[in-house]
Amino acid sequence: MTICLLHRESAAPAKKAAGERTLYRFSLDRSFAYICADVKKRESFLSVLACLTDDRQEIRYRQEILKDFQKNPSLLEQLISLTDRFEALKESQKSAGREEYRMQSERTASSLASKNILQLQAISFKRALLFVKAYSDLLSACDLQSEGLLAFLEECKLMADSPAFEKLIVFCSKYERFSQNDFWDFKISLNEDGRLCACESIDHRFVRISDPDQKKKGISLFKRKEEESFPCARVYPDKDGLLEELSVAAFSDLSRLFESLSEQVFEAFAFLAEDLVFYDVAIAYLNALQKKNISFSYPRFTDSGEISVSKLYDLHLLMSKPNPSEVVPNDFALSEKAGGLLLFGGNGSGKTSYLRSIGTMQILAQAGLPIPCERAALPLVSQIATQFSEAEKEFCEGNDAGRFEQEVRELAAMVESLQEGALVFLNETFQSTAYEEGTEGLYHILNYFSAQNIRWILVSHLTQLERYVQKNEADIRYIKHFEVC
Amino acid sequence: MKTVPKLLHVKKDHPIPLDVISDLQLDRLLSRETLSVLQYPCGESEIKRRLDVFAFLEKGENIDRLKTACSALTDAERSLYRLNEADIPLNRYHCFAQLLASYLTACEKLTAFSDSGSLLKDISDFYTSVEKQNLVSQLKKTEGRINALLEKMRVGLLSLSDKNWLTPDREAVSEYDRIGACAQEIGLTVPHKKELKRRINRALSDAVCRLYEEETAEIEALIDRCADVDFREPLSYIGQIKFFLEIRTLVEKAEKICASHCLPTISKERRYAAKDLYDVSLLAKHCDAIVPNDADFTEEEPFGFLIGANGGGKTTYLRAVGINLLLFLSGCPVFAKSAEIFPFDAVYTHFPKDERFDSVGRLDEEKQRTDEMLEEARGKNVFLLFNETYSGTDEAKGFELLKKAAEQIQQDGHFGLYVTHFHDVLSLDHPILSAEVDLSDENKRTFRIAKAKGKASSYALDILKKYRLDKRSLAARREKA
Repeated sequence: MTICLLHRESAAPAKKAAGERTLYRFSLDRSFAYICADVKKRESFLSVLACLTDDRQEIRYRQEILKDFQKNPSLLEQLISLTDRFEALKESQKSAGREEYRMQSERTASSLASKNILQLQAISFKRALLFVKAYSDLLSACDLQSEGLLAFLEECKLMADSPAFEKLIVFCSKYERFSQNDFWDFKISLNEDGRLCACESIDHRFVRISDPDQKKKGISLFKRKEEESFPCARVYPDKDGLLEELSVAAFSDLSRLFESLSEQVFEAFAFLAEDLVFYDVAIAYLNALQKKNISFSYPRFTDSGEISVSKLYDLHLLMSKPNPSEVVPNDFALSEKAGGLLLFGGNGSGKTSYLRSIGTMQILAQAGLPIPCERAALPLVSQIATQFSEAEKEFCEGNDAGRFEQEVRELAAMVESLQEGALVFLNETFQSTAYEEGTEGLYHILNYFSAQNIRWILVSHLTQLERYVQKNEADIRYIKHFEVC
Repeated sequence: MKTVPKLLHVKKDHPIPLDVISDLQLDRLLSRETLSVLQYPCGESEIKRRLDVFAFLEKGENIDRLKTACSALTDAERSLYRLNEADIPLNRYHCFAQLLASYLTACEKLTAFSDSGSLLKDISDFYTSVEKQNLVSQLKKTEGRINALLEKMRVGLLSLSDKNWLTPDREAVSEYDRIGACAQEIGLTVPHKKELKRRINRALSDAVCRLYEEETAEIEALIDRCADVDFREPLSYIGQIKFFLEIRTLVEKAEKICASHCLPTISKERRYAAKDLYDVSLLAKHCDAIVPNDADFTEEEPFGFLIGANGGGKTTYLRAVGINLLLFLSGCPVFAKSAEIFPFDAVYTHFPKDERFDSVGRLDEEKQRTDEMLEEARGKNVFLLFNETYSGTDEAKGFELLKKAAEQIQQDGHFGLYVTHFHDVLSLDHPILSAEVDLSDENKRTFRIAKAKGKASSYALDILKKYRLDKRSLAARREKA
């Protein structure tokens, strides 16, 4: 079993279809810095955004969980608190395992030390089981609708409600109280070579011994029922420490069993902490939008490729400006046949912000999050790639390329990695060369994208592109003073 | 009682000196045990019998059969060693049971060669004799009984408290299994148990024996009953089988680089004729291809000189002749397309030595060795291999000594080959072989050896050019300086 609140199936690591560089260019790191101050949590959240999913069911899976957390605000809080303690237990169990490994490798294990480790491992396993029970109780108390949280509850109940679960707790308790003065009983086996191949702990009730030394002496007035006698032989003290070694082996085996079982429980919940961080930041994001009185909506995913968004806000502007009314929302539409969009506009007209809002929208939507807009319908893309015009890279060994060459190099690498169904954002690309040459070069690249079923949005000053691009190849828009025409 | 047949009849007299083995680089290819067999040429009849075994081993499945037999014998040897080492009763009983099992397996494997060459068939017949089969059947019964008794004694419950007790197991379920069963019920996986592999000690062994007194007494009686069985008897085959298998492994290695082998024909006349002869010692240098050459030494032309280009394959050819002759004399396949060889009495080599000549000079040492070799060879059918002998002096003196040795060889009627740089040998009345080069391709070495025609050359200029020490390179260096 594996509990995973981000992915429907077992947690197969998603490929980085957006990438950190894209998040950086869309200022998502800065936007979420306003929402979540905890760097570690923010990074974890952004890493989920970077791994873009185009699985519609998985996106819905996340949306439903997020809605459940919105409906039960204390549930997320309690789950995070429980999971934090669960993670701490995992760490302490690991250190007990390390101690055992050290003793085994240094051959310094004594039966007493092994017994102590066995106690620790039994306690760890018992606590791990009790956490499963706690998760089960917590989730049972809520009215859940999402497939993910219901599956989580189901898995926990499957374990915790089993009669074997209680038995395991009893076993753990037994070894938790295991004392030096107890009987230590083992089953030993020899292999066909006559070597000791196994020594395993057994319950004392399996051992029946008639000690001739303990036979009562003297005369009794009452005739007693004849005692049952069991064959047994005394093992005289050994000099080579074999019996001690056998005890160590038996206790270590049990320790390893408890350790392995604990690890399996830990492994089942291995993704939970990270997953909960995602929802924690997501709830903070929704709260931030609500606080700014900005409406948000979950998008509708289209199959045709048509994009239609009304009143879309740029998240970065929303978060960075103290007054949301300063931010102008824009509509965005792209016909299903259009291979791409050419965006022209004067300096400071808001071209880049508009591009950023579209990119942010696509990433948030495919992460299962709502978008700061009134309404949105958009297709799923397989990959998001960006090429933003940047200053020349620092002088460093091996970099002998000029700005234009750097752009070409970056584009070439991008072209190598792009797959069908991707969406490419280009910002002021090829403006560091002669316009005519840049235009022609860029046109051929855009044409290549369209032919490969890769959609693109280009912000540019290269207005000559209008002459190259046919009307049915791409849509062309102009931005004037933050308003798209 | 029948005599135990052997797979290798090695006559322990007149060994070929170990220097010959190392001159031919065979010590880099084969184990010491196999080399010790190669040191003793086995004579015509034994060559035939060994070649029969190698003919049998031409089939992969037969190699596997022999390997299985060898492995069974090795198991028996290991069991016998362990039994001798066992000082604790319970340990000893187990070792004895194992010895019986492995001995019986070995005997069974040895009976499976009735369809092979006479050497293996003799062994097979020996182990299928009524006498042996009766013994095998008796030992099988003993083995079965001992194992049944030991089976009972193998599992017990050990209780460690103020007094330690051992008691028979009444199907006690280990805590590991009980916890594991519960864990599986809730969907967890139970890891494999770690095997202990610890020797039992005397205290525990004594306790087991006391717990099972009757069983122990019966095992002791069964062991006593086998006191007269010679378990060592078949173990001598291990080394003998390994000889055949090691030579086969060499054949397989050579096949990987397309160096073919054949089962040579024994020549009635003194002759050494081979087509496409390979120097398999190059396998030790991990060469991925070997150029084969022909050899033809006859009563008319028994001895010759080999001259030619440096790095042209003269020594390789000399080794190819020596190695394959040595293999033939021990009844092994030879690395050639075909071969017809006379069973010479011995092979002697005279290669340059690397040691410091403190008491005598190099020339004196070489002269002394040559004299000793020719003395040793007198009256025998031998094959002599010389490599650059007498190169440690001026040309005139060296050639004089060479001529003297050649006369002696001719007079004694020995076969042989002499690699030399003395081009004056062209004037002697002996066949001359030469390492050829391709004149049309910058004197590229072909590694082909052929009867010499025209003027001889060592093509030393190529090597000097390569290291920029030829006239033009040295002049260029001077100009630069």
